[in-house]
Amino acid sequence: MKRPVRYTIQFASILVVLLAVLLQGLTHAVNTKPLAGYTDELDTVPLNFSTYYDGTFQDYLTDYAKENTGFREWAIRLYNQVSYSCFNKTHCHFITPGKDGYLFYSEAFREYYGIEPLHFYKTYDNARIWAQKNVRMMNKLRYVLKDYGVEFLCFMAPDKAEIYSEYLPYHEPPKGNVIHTAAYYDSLMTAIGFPHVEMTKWYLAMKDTASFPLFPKRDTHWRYAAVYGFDSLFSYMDSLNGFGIPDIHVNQLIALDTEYLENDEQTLNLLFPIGNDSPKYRADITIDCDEGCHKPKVLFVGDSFIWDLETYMPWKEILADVEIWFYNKAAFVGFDKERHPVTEINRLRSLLNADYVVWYSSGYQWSRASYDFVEDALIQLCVTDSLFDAQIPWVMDSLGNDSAFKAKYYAQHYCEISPDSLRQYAINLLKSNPELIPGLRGEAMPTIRNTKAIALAQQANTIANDKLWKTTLEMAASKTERSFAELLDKEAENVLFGRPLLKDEIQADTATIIQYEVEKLINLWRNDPKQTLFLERKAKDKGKDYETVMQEDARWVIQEKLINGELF
Amino acid sequence: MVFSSNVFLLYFMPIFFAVYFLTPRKIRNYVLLFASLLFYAYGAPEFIIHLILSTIANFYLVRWMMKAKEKENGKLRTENFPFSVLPPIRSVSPSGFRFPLSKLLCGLSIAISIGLLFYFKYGNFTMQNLNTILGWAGFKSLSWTKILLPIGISFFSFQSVTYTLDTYRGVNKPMERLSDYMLYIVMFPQLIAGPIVRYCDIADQIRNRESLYTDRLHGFYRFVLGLCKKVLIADVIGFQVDQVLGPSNYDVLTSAQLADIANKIAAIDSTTAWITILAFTFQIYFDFAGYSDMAIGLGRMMGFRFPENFDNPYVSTTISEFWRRWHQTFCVFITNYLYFPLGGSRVKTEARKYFNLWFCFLVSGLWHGAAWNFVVYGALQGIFICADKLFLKKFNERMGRIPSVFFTFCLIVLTRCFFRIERIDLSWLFIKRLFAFDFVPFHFGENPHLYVTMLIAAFFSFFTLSKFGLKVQDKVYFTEYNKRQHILAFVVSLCAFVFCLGALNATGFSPFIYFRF
Repeated sequence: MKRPVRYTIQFASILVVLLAVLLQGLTHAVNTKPLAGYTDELDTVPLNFSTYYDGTFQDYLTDYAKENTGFREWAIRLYNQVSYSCFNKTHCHFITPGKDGYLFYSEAFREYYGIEPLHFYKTYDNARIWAQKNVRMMNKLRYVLKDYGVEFLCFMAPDKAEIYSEYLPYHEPPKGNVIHTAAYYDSLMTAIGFPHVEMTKWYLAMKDTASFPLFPKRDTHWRYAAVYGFDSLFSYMDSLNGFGIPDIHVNQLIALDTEYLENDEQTLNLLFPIGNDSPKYRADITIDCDEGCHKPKVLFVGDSFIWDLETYMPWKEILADVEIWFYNKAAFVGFDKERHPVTEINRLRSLLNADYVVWYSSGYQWSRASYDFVEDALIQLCVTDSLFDAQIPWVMDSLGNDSAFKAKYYAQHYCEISPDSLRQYAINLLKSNPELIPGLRGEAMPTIRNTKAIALAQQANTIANDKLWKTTLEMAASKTERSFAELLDKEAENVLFGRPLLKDEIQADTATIIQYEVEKLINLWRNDPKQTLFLERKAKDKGKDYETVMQEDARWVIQEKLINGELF
Repeated sequence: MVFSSNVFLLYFMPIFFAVYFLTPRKIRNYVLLFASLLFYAYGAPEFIIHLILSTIANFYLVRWMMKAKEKENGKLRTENFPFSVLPPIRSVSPSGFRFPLSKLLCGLSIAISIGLLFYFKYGNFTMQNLNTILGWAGFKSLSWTKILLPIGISFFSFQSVTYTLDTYRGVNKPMERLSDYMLYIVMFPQLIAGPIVRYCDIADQIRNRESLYTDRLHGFYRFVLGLCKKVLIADVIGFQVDQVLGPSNYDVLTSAQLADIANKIAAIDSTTAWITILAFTFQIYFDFAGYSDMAIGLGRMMGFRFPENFDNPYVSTTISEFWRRWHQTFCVFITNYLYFPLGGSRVKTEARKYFNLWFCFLVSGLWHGAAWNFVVYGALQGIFICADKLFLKKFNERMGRIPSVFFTFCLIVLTRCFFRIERIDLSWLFIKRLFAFDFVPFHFGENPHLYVTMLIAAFFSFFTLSKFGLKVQDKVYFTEYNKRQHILAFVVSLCAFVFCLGALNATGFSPFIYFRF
């Protein structure tokens, strides 16, 4: 056999390259810059006969191989760079590249051209019906919340695609009577006088005169320019009821000289930066809070545009307390953003504890409105469990026998399923269509209330806002291994029904509460590696025992809180 | 497992070749056989036993058949027959009637291959249509559990048939070893999407083949070329096609999803419709030709010379020529094992000749899928072929080469509607959109990647219309490289391989179209 050395070397090199990629995938021996962006974590599927035979192991291996391809980061960046540079194309399906290095969120791009409503509702007529229903329910929710001293309003964040439409890529406009969801919601809310702030028009008016770009070139979010939006929002909130919200003065935006990759650009995973033509800004803001000024408690429900408030605004100087229900799924409670699923918190308490409830959304997200928030809030506030349960049989019956009802609520394919599934479908249908429930139907304002639950929630809020009472219950909860929420509800019931109070049973003195707070803080520190390291170093420097230093520091922090009135 | 997947490219292929080339030459076939069974078992665990059993059955049936045939011819000394477990051959019945046992065994072997193919591939289709007819006639439907299609069955069934028939016809001797026969059937490069390798083409290579280092390099270059065709051209174009026409397999869709596709098709303008069907025409070529290149390349790395499957089909001046250039191994199979047995062109009447032609294409249409759209596709191709013989060829010759290539290409593009859209009503709706003449201005900037890729696809599809193109093609595909050319091809191939890996991982998993057939 003819075996010239060079061919042997060439062929061996091919095998070496292939095996090197394989080994890198298995060992990750060479460090590569990780790819930006979110991917679902892969659930491990063990190899056994069942997983092999039904193909789940093969599917897993396919995904595993994809995630663990050696030098995958380089290969993907190379391909992405070629795609972007040659065809202005991205492989992050959320990002649509525009002209002149602009990047747009794909949904915003579709919303601008009026395609997004079709994606959700199939026809523009359906989209209109849905929007009308939502605004009607929002108005009902506002009416109910107003009874309990809570202002409900809406904030329409601006869309980059609307503001910088000249940089959008070409798209054939859809045929028919196109609607733009955000604009349609704006017109509906204006028509009925629902309080709302619409920022797109304001931004468009400001666009030519502003000394800074209203949106970064390569970021979907408004980032630094959010300060102008929230400045307007808080002024508007104050104008609704004269609450006395601190005055916010946005003095100027200062360009920073730091090089950075904007958020959307990072997710493109390119080899080289697109450009250095979109500076970063810092907002220079002053807050005036004179006599008669009150910091409000605000519940924000909506999309990711809220996070720029936290980044660019002095949050704690404006608000007394805050809760964010991110897409009505994840609740971030307080300034420390303690995270819980929304379904696991007492939503009624949160609604009634707020001075303002702000439903906010950027333009392109309006087709998703309101992530069941308005529906759920209406049911929480107005519908007792017994009333809700009483509706289920007739909804099930209608789903089974009323063809017009079925057609309206898209339930055709549920007709032949088991009674249990039908019941679940009926429950879900009621939850997403509270206007099916008597008292919430039609154009009229709600005539029913979930009185007992509301009274309990209000009482629980009173207890929770009393720091000493709250701490006493927390202490009791930790000692009895019951949850704080459970004790809070029990205590609220005790108050309402004139039963003996847990607070009086426990009769905790100041020293006991301080000791409890110290222990709580120590537990917190033990789970914080940074704090642990800091205390270890401190103990070493001072030549003391680590536990002693921790006890001393914790006691000092709690004493300071006590002096400043932060404890109770 | 598909060739253009990370599992194959980064796990299976390097490990297989490392083991294959490190093992002694004598046991390489066993390594290849084991790897091939693993390859099939990975993707179709529920069918691997069926594949093995049917292969074993065919092997012994053919041996028995040959023994019977030779005895019938009085040539075989029974004591030399190696397979003594089988019952003694009875060529004369007790009543004295001589029945050709060899023919019977040949028929049985073919019946197993074609029967399994028919059962798995056309069972659902047959029962569906039977129940429709029963419904019309007012009878109750027959109950039927839907069966899954074993991957690659159309290809390995045909290979079994070629082995049986070629052996029966005396083209080649039966194989001595079961492992060799099994290797011929299940060899992973061509197992699931061809090329359909005739036994006589590869018989010698299985036992005795030479794998030069230049062959290995050429094989790798060819493999990467195929990978590029698949990943960088077919997949890019296919994405756009799927956007308009939905996924390629309508069987898995719900009625609501089908209604969505129908609405989408009804709403498209003529410009989009033409771009879509043109895109599909290129997609299917580069997808399938890419796969064939990869199969041929992998085979060549091991020293096999698989037959070519495509010869620039879109430069054909007639539909007949197109079918000589498109999926050549399949066409050879249909010619040898269906057209000739039907009598071919040596029949008494002209009508019968044209029927034979038309029927072969009808069957070939049905081979592509068990659905009425494929029947229509095959029937149309058959009609065009007959028209070719009657008048179209002469008409094309008069037009000149370029116009006739264009005309033929247009016919191919139009018939592709029935190939891609697996519902005749939707195909017809789509054709109506093609000729609705509601064209909108074309915007290159709307999807430059697609249009550039389509231009590249068009360029390479028609490149060989020129002599220069043919020369380049011969150089790239069929000529030995010198030292410099090898270095260039080596560097380009490795870079292209890495780029394809990037494309695969950046754009997602991409199954091949032809696996369904």
